Amino acid sequence: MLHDYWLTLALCHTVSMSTVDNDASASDGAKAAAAAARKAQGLPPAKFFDGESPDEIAFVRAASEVGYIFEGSERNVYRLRTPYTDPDQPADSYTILAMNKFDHERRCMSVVVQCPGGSIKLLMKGADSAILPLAANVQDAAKHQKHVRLFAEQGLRTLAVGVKELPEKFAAQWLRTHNEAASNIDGRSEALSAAAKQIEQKVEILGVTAIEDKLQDNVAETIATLRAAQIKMWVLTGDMVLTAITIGYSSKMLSPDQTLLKYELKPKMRAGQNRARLVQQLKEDTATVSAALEARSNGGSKASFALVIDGRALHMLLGHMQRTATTNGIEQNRETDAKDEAMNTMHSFVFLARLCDCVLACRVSPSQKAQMVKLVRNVRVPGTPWYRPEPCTLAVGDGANDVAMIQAAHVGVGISGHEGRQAVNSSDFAIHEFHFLKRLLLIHGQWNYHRVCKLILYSFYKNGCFMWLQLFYSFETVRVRLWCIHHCRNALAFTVW
Amino acid sequence: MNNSKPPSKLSRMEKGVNRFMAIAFCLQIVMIIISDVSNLAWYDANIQNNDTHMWYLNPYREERQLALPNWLAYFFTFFVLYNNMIPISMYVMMEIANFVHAAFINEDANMYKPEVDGKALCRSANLCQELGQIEYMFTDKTGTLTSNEMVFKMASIGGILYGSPDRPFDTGLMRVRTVVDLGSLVLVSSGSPHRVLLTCF
Repeated sequence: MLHDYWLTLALCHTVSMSTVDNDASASDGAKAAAAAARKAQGLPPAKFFDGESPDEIAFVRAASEVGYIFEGSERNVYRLRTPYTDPDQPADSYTILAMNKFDHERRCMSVVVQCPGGSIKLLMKGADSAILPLAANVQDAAKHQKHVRLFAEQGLRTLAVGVKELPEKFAAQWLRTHNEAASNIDGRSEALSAAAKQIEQKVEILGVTAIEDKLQDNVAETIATLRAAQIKMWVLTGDMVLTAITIGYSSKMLSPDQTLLKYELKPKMRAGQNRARLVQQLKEDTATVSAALEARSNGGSKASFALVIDGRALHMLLGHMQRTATTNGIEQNRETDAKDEAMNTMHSFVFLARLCDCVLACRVSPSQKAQMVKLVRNVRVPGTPWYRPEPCTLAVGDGANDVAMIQAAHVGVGISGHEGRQAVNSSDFAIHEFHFLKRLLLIHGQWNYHRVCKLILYSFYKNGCFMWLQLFYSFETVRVRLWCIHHCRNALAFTVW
Repeated sequence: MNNSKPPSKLSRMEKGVNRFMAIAFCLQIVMIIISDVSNLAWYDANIQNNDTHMWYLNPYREERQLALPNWLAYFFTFFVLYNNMIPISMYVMMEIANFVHAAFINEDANMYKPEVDGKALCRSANLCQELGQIEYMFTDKTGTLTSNEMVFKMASIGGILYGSPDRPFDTGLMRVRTVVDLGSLVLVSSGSPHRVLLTCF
């Protein structure tokens, strides 16, 4: 069982091996320098795992440390060293007969592998909610479900791992279906995923993995402090809803006693229905939230809300205006109605979002990130007094996908990290770690604000003094005074008289 | 969408000060008008009429000879007199203050990351005050809150938990366990277990 588990992690992935020698790019100075050093010492060039998903890289790395060393792939042959392998011999070859790539509907990936012994196995890994229901043994799944919950509580990213022995005949038969699907011209991906579903059934659940995407140092503490300073936190991420929620909990962005208001699209509904449902939900939530918050302000309850919204749902709620743009004469009337309605939706969304203590927006595009910032900046919530200035916004980001958001906010902060300098170059402040924000905002910002305010007030005060001095002086000297006082006195005297 | 030209950011305080400056200017104009009118009236009353008790102001009884009409000339006189109302020097002072503050931020030892020799960097000093008034914060997740380094932490295999949340995953121990597991398998299938064990250590 342990063997199969690590075998899956070492084989069921899209990671490739790269030596730095070949593609030492100028941007990766440190790696290139390390490679040069190794070359000078006569060592073979260092190897790195390269892949789209950092999770998979973590799996392959962990597996190689446990003894299942992935040594690269040639076409569909993966070279792997296991504890079975004779160290004097070259690594074993595992032939990948078929790969069912990850898609968002199945939420898992699997490979059909021919092992060196000739046996054929289906190795799969994927979201626990997708794989556990496929278990051959239901009790097994329940046992693992317990651990999944345990991991999720720790804020770890979980994936389930499964295996299935395929009889040779069955494998050959399925492979034919798979290849047919792969050669389809229309609806190829649908056919492939249907084929995948056919084989991804009744698997033996091997176990669950837990990956930690380490929070930076002191993130939770920083967030708690900023929250105590009455700053509202919005997380805008390209990640999935579930991951974002998990990270939200582990970073103390969300607390367990908070009510989550989720806005997601139901894939089975039509766009119009979905939209109507979301708008309806928006109305209901606004009512409950404002009632609960009123109770809270009276000291009644400790209700607190967090809003979780999906990028597509956001687009539905806010991006409606473009779609209603028709210029037909008869449509004109209806169009203004639709526009009004869209404006109303937007207003009530912003109203609700502002009431919540935390907003998580998942799967949002860079322009949507900027759109959210602009919403908070520009949309006046009905009922705000006229003298209240627009709320001050700050955007923090590290990559190119945050540039739009950083430019849209009042203050943009770039975090210089692995993802290049684009964010930093368009930002107003650049820091190296998230927790520096605490000091930047609460000490530097606060002090600067106080000092500059004093400076301005003092400036006006000083100039006022100078000016009034002039005025009184000119009154005190004869120039203006006599006439003025004379007349006033006379007028007063006459009146009183 | 990322190519939009970078907006020139003006802090809200600067906007507020500019607005107040306009108010101050209006106030100044009002005061100038009051002073001007008073002055004209007084002049008419006291100087023009050859009032004797203020003979020293115009001892030779000359007509005033100004290039501009009286009211306009005195308007400008008072304008110069009251120009302190608008604190031009304040902008300079603010710039200096912000410059010093930017230096404070840049040189803050508590915002220094020794591993990369990185200091905080203040790129637009005039936004320093804004930092103190933030109400809404928008953050990215991956790479901002997290360090974007995935680490294998725990495993649950066949219903048994390996690893613990407070320690890094012990791959060495896992290796031994896997080998032992394999070894028993190999024993059963009458292989050579020592060979298996040897390969792993």
